[in-house]
Amino acid sequence: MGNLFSLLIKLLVLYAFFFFSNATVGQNLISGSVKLKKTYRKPNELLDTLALQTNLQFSFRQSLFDQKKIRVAAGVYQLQELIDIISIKLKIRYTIIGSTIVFKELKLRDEIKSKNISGFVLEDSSGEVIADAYIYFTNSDKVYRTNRQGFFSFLAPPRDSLEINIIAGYRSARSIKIAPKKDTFLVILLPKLKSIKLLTISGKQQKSISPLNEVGIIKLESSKLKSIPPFIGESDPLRPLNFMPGIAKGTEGNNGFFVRGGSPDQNLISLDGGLLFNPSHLLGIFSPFNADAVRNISIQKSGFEADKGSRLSSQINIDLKEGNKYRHECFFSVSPIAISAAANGPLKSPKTTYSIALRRSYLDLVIAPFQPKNVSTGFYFYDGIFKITQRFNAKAKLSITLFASKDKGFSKNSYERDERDAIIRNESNEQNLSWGNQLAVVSYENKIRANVFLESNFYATYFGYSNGINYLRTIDSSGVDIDKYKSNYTYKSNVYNLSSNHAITYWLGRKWRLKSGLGYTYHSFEPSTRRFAIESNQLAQGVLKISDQKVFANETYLFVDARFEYSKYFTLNTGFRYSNYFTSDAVFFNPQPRVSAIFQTKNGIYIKPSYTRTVQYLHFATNNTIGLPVDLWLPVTKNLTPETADQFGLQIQKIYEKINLNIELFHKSMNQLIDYAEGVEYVGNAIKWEDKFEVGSGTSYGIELMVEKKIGNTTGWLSYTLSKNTRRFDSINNGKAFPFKYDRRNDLSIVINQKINKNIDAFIAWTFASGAAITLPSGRYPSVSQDPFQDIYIYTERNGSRLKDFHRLDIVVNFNKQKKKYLRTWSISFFNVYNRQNPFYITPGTDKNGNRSFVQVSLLPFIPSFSYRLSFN
Amino acid sequence: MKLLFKIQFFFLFVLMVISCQKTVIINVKNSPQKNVCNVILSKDSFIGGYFYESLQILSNDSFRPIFEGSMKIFDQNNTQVAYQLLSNSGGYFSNNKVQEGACYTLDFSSYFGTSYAKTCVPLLPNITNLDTAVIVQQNDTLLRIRLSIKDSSIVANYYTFSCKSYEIFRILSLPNGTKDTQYKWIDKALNSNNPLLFINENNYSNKIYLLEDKQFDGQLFDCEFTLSLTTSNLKEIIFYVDAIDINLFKYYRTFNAQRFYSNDPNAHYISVFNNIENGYGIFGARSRFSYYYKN
Repeated sequence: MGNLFSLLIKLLVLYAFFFFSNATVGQNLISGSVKLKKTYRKPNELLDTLALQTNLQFSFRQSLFDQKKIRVAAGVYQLQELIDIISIKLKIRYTIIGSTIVFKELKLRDEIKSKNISGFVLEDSSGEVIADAYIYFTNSDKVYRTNRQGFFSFLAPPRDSLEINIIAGYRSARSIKIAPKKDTFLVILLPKLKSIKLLTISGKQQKSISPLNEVGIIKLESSKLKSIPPFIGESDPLRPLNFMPGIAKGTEGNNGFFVRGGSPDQNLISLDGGLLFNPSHLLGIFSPFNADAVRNISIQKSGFEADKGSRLSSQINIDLKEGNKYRHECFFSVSPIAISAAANGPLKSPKTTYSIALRRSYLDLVIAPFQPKNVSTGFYFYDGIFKITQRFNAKAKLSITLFASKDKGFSKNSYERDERDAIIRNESNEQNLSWGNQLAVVSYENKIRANVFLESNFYATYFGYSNGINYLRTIDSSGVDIDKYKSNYTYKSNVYNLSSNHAITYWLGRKWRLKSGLGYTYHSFEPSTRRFAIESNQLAQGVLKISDQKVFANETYLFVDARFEYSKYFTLNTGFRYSNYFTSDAVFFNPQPRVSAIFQTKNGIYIKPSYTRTVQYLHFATNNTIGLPVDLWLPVTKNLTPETADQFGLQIQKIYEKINLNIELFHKSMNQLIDYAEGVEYVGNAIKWEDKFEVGSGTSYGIELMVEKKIGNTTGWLSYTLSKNTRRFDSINNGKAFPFKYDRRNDLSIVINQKINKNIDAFIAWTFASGAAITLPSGRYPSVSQDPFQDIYIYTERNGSRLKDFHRLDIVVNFNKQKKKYLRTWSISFFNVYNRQNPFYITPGTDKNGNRSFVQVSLLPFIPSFSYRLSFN
Repeated sequence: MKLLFKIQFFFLFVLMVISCQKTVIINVKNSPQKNVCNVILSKDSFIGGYFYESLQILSNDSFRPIFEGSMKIFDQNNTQVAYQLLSNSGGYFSNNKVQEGACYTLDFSSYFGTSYAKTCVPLLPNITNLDTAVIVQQNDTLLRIRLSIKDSSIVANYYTFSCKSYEIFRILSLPNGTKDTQYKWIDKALNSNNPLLFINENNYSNKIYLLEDKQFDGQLFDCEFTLSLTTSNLKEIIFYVDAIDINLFKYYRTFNAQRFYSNDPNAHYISVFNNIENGYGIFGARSRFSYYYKN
């Protein structure tokens, strides 16, 4: 009996060995590729060819193929993918047994359609969703991608078992095997890798994760955000965008984005779906976003899908972390500029999470003790982010995001002096300047069905700028006020929006993805309000409020966007957006077609032509020198009609094993742009604000190159842009086209991240840009007063001169040490290492010999600094 | 560590506050030298103008008067009403006077070529009422001037108000009139009242107040000015109300604005209004109402 049992076990082991080895053989056989020299229309003929070219055998009932025709074009195919294609076209399924492919009838009539696989990809240590994770099956070139909410959906191929591979950046990867069933829902947890390295999946080299199926997008995932070197000790998650191609630098210290000849207002900056108006700190040196609270950042410069709109040049999406579902994380950092802290984690249960980040500068507090008693001057900024997320189940969640940032500069002084005969004169003068953003967003996401995903949001956003002067004078004689004069002046400009937006994405079949939606925005603009008040016991009193009329407007839009993936060699994206804008005296309707395509050549080069038309229902008035926040947001009116842009792009991408190469050509023409008319003041309402501007057009074209190395101890990129950006207005510059303020003919950035050892890494960035265009006087003549100090300058050409070239080297070294409960990081940064005096502004003046010349003022010299950072998790 | 932060902060602060400044060579397309014609016609005085050479921006020369040129002024019937009379300072004068409401053409020729311009002399301000009062306060004696001006209902009205006095003179009460008149008027007046305000286009205009009224509504508006007699040691104070033509108005406005913003690196550049064809400068006109007060 024992021998019999032993023999039975041996036979079972032998059977198992042969069965699994055959299965392995089958898997190996089917993982190869096959070349079809002609187009096949008969299934039997195609299978015969495959049997001859491979060691596979095919088993089927002839009735499955009778009277059925297929069309499989000549080309090189992944073998299993080709069998998938045959099965899909013939509406059959198959199983692999050893080296034999067994074709079978479908069990149900619509079995293929019903095998929809959807789900979310999450980071296993925190439960945060992972946007842009790539999903593909073994033996298939088809790649799917999670959306910004980490959601994916696709139809499974007609296989009985499926190996799904998931990768997210060069960070983590995972393979799972499933047997596809009707509406399979997956929550896939990806491990977090501590080091960046080349991953392998199932012994096969990792596929490229570059966004090959997107057009015109640059992405900064969270792992990259963490490697951002601090600038004067402050990490700025938007700063790397300034090193990207097609994004011109502002003047020294200016962190604004000038995308392909566009002005900063032409970038839609969206924080968790809510719009922000050109947020910045310290006159644009920093953005108000705390890197510890940000999950992903992306910028799209061309090939916009129809769901994106409202701005001409780019869309910058900033997604905040939802918070760790399993434990609390804390971050604390100190720099010479500011103190910041951030935390996130679960609230009672993993279903509810929070994320909070706060920062405040302390320059004003530090300098306060060193100022004279009667003087108080300073500047401070703060920003705060709070987000709470409630998950109702694995498929639906609600998030509330609150954001505020403010900058304020102030100067106070007071004097008291004894005049004659016990008369005491007191004077005090106070001036202040401030600007800031506030935003509240409520967003809701729901996987309604396996192939339907809903995104909705409602937000309120506000941007305000103000300055003010308070003056007080009292003359006191023996304790009696004999004269008292008090004046108060304030200037305000603000804009706020209320908006609601909804979009549904449908995945239809294997080749279609449809996205449609609609939205409404209520605009309120107050271009400038001035209030002047006098209180006096000697003079007439009064309060005067001078205000340009408030403008209220309504904007609505709807869109449909369709993505059709014909084959791995060709994908077409077409979309249509229709928007309207109506205010008290004007109504505008604007259809905006969008189209882009992705062609893949046989040698793996991606060619992506695109055309987009975009419309912008607001204007931005910036003065033609440096960009202080005195810049005004202005509404579209009957006279200042909506800005429009037509952009053609051609992107070429090639992915090598360690290097990504990206080249893009673009041509953008913009209409209904505004600029200050010649001879008007940029502030004040001596004339109505609408009359200060001219309406004209702009053109931008060029070529962008980016070479990026994403893996290994040395990573980084080189980006170069050659472009020309011009503006033309009938009444400016005699109607001739002139260079845009931020026209940079050459723009080059080299960024290197070097991992020196386990604890030390370094960041080196060198950037160069041709000098910005500037308007300088070309002559002078005397005024009617004949006062030699009142020469009149002659300006003959708008932006006809150039500042000196801009270049700078920054180096940052991070010293990390993992302590028992936290990670400690010292960052030592050297800003502007060789002390290049880059121009901040330039003005006519005299040299040391008294000769007339131009004097250049530079703002940021060589600055060494350090920051200290603790991460608890 | 606290000390370290303090040291670093000071280092940083010093670097940031003391911005680097240096002289640089910039390639500027120099504008060609041209005639500069500064001619303001006035109904009350003889015709005169000053003519100079314009200079390139980096030239260290002083402005040179044009001594070899010819000034001709024609009226609307193409009759020459002025001829050149060269002065030592490069001025050209004529004993002729111009007429209210008439239009004139300037023709100035020199080695830079011929420059042209046109202007029309506005009507005298229609002042329907003017009264004065002396107000004695604890430490000061003030002269208050109230006046009413009737608008023209045919053309736009541009006025300047100025005073020959050592004391700052100011508008203290709000004028009556249409909303638009108030708007333009108060804008200038209030800004000029407080030297601390940075929006002040009149800081450099010898206390000239500008008033723009585009309503053509024939309205009557009142305004009030006050100036100190205590600190003024002039025996006679003269108060002027000038009706000016639109060219001169634009010139004043833009000239003041360029002066005011010239040292502001954040400001949009401002070109001064210039109505001289093939040249620079201003060919404007005014009609002056004067009020004399014996101190």
